[in-house]
Amino acid sequence: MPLRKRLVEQGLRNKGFVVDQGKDLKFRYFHQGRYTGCWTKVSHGSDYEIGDNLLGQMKKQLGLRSSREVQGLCDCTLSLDRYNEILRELGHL
Amino acid sequence: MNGTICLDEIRPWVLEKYEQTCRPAMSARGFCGTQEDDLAQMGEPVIPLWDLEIDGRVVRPAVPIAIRLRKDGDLFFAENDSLAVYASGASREEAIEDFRQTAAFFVREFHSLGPDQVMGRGSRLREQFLKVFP
Repeated sequence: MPLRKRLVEQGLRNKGFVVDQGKDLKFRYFHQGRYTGCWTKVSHGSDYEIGDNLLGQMKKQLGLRSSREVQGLCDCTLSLDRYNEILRELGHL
Repeated sequence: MNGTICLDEIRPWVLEKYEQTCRPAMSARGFCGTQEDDLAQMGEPVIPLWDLEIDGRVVRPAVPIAIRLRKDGDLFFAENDSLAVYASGASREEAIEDFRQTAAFFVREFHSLGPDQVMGRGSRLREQFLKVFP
């Protein structure tokens, strides 16, 4: 299911991802002040739809198992605690 | 083929070979970030990255970086799982350029972070980046 860029941006900011302003907006995830190696990015500019193919890549960037989890992380149906649990389960934390 | 050949010089050749065969254009053995058998099974082309431009300087990795290139829908994806560098673009060239910029970002990033500033996947990636870009 496609996701709006604006929702990704808001969702990840709300989750405390650190934002880098460069050619793209990079979101990096720090846990307890340490970088986890989990990240993703969106383009600058107006809102647009992120398709399933790009969501599939964001899944890898964020260390998640499915596009549904990416969607949950962005629309806040997947809590930060649950995200941390998933990262632990997958050996990313 | 050796480390003095830059990507721009061989890119047309690699892409031409890929177009002809739809198979990996060259061996990925010895490259960073790929298992040749896995790639052969997937039938995805591997493009070597011989250098990166970082803050105006050309930096060469200790071993070439394998870029796995694939197309999904309207986008091209350039990826390396070992370095967790995932890039995309509307064309192959755009995807590879995005890969170069993303990789350069993380080289700077991991060189600026100490071991106590990373954890989990971040620690593994830092170690890998420092090994490939000492």
